[in-house]
Amino acid sequence: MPGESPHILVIGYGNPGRGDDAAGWLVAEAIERQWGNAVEVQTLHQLDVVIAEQLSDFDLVVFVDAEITDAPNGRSLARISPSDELQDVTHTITPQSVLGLGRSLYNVEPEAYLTGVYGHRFDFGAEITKETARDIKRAVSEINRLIESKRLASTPL
Amino acid sequence: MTDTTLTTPIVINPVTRIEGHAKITIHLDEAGDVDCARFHVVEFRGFEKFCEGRYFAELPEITSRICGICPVSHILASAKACDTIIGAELSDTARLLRELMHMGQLAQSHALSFFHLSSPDMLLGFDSDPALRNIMGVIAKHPEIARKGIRLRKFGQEVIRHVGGRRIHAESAVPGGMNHALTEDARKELLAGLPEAMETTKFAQDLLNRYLDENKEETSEFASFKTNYLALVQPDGSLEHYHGRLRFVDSEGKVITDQIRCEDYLEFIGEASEDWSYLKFPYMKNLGYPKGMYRVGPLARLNAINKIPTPRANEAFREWRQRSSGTQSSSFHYHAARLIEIVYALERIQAILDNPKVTSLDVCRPGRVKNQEGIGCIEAPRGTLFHNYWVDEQGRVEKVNLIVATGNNNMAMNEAVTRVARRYVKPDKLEEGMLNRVEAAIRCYDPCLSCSTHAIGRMPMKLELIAPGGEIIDSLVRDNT
Repeated sequence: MPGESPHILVIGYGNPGRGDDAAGWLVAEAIERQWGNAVEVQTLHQLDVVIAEQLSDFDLVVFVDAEITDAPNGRSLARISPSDELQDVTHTITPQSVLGLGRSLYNVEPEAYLTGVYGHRFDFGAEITKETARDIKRAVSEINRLIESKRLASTPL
Repeated sequence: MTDTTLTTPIVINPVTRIEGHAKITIHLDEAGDVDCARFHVVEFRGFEKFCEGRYFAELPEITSRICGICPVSHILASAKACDTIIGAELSDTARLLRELMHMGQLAQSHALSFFHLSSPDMLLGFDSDPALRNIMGVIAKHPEIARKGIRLRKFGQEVIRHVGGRRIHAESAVPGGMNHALTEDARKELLAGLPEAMETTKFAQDLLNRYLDENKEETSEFASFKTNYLALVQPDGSLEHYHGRLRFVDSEGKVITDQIRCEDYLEFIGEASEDWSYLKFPYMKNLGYPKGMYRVGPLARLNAINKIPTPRANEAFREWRQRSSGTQSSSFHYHAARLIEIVYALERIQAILDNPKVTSLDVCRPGRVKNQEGIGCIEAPRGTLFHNYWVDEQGRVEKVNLIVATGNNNMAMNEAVTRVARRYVKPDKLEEGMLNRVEAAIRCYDPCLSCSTHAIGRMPMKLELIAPGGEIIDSLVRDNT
C-alpha cells in the first residue's frame, strides 16, 4: 500500500556453533542492529514448514544461508520463486519450497530473495574464516541496499 | 550356474525425509534371497570431543546446537546432567517449565513426522509415483490436512518459544532450573491454542485408524519383528518423558528389568561398533551384542508402560492395545504411538498451564560443582536420550558420552530394513514400490542422523543391492538436495 512501510522479513539460518555455518545468523543480526523494529529478523537452525504460514504477513522476505561454493564472493542476492517441485521434505526445507508451500496452502507470494554466504569450514566450534567474514559484509551491504530501495519506493512523493 | 543379474550391484541412495546422511545396502545370499540389509551412517564429526575442556554450565547451550531437529531434548538432558553436577534440587516451577517445554517439543516434532513426512505414504499410497508421494502431493489432494499439520506444529513451537525464549532453539534451561519465568499473558495465549491442537490430533488419529483398518495386513506386518523395548517410566509403570526410571520389557511387554536409575545406564547398555557405520550399536549388556537389540521411541514407550496418566491419551492407549492385542511389534505403529503421545503432551500442557505455580518467579537455584559426574536422561520424541558428563573439581569437562535416540534404535532400523527387503526386494532389480517401503521402514523411526552422528547437512540416501561376492547389482538414488 503506498505510503505504508513494506513489511520485511529477514531469515538467517544455519548452525551458529559450526564455523562458517553461523554466517546466516551473523548477517541477520547485523540487519537487526541496523534496522531495529523496521525489519522482522529471525535466526533459525534450519528452515521449517511453519514459515510458510507467516509469509502472508510480509511483502518482502530475504533468506540468508552459508553455502559451500567455489565462488569466494558467495552468491549475490538474487530473486527466487516458489517451487512446486518439492520432491520430499526432510526435517528441513529449501527457501523455494517454503515459498511454494506459502503459495499452495495460503495463496501468498511475497517478493523473495536468497543470498548464499561463502563458507568452507563447518567444524564444531570453529572460528568464522576470514573469507566468510568478508562475504558477510557483502551480504549485509546488499540486503541493506535492498531494504532501502523498498522503503524508498513506498515513501510518498 | 550363477545368475548373471546377481553379478551387477543394486544401490538405494537417498532415503528421503530423514535427517543426516546415510546409505542402505541389501545383501543377497548364494540363493539370490535377501540375507541382510544395512543402514549405514557415513558421516561423523566428533561432538563429544568438542565439548571437552569447556565449562560444564556451557553444555546445555552448546549441546543444543548439535542439530536443529531436537535442540529442546538436548538442552533438557544436558541441564539435567548439570543439575546433578551442582546437586541442585529444582523448584516446582522450574520442573513445570522444563516439562512444559518438553511437551511442546514432543507435539511439534511428532506433528512434523506424521503430517509432513509420513502422511504421504498413507494418503497417497506406497505405490504411487514418488514424484507426487510427498507433502506437495498431499497439498494437491488434501490441502486442509497440510494446513492442520502446520498449525499443530506451530502450536508446539509457540510453547517452546514462550518457555524457552526461541521458537525452535530454546535457551532457557540452565543448571539449577530455568533462566526466565513464564508470563501470565503467555500462559493465557497457550491455553487458548489448546482446543484447536487437540481437535487436529483427533482428526489425525481418525485418519490413521481408518488407514489401519483398511490396511490391516500390511500395517500389522510392516517391518514387524520381536525386540525388547526401553523407556523411562514412573514408579507405577506409567508413561514418563522427563522424570522416572528406566524399564526394559521383552517383545510381549513382560518386564525384564524395572526402575533402573538413569545414572546406572552403563551397567545395562553397551555400545558396539561396526566398520560399515559411524553410528554405534547400543545393546542390552545382559544379552550381549547383537542379541541384545532393543527399540526406543514412541512405540517402545507404549509397549513398555502400563498406562498413561492423562485420561484422553490413556483411552487412546487402551484402544490401541486392544487393536494390537497387547504390544505391537510392527514398525508402522510408531505413527499411531506418536499421535497418542501428542494427545498426552497436549493434556500435560493443559495441566501444567492450569497449575498456579507455573508463573512463579522461583525458577532457578544455581550452585557450584559438588559432583564430578552428571547424567541426564529423558525421553526425546525419538526415544531415550542420555547425556553423561565427567568434570574436574573446577567444572571443566573431561569427558562426554551421548547416546541419542536414533543410536538406540540403530540395530532395530537395520532389522526393519532387512525385514522389508526380504519381503519386497526381488533379486534382479529394484522397483519403486520396494524402495518406497524401504524408505518408509526407516521413516517409522524418524531418525535424526545429524543428531546421532552430529553430522551436518541433509541426508541423501543410497540403496545398493549387493551380490554374495560384494558386487553391486543395482542401485537407486534419491538425491533431492
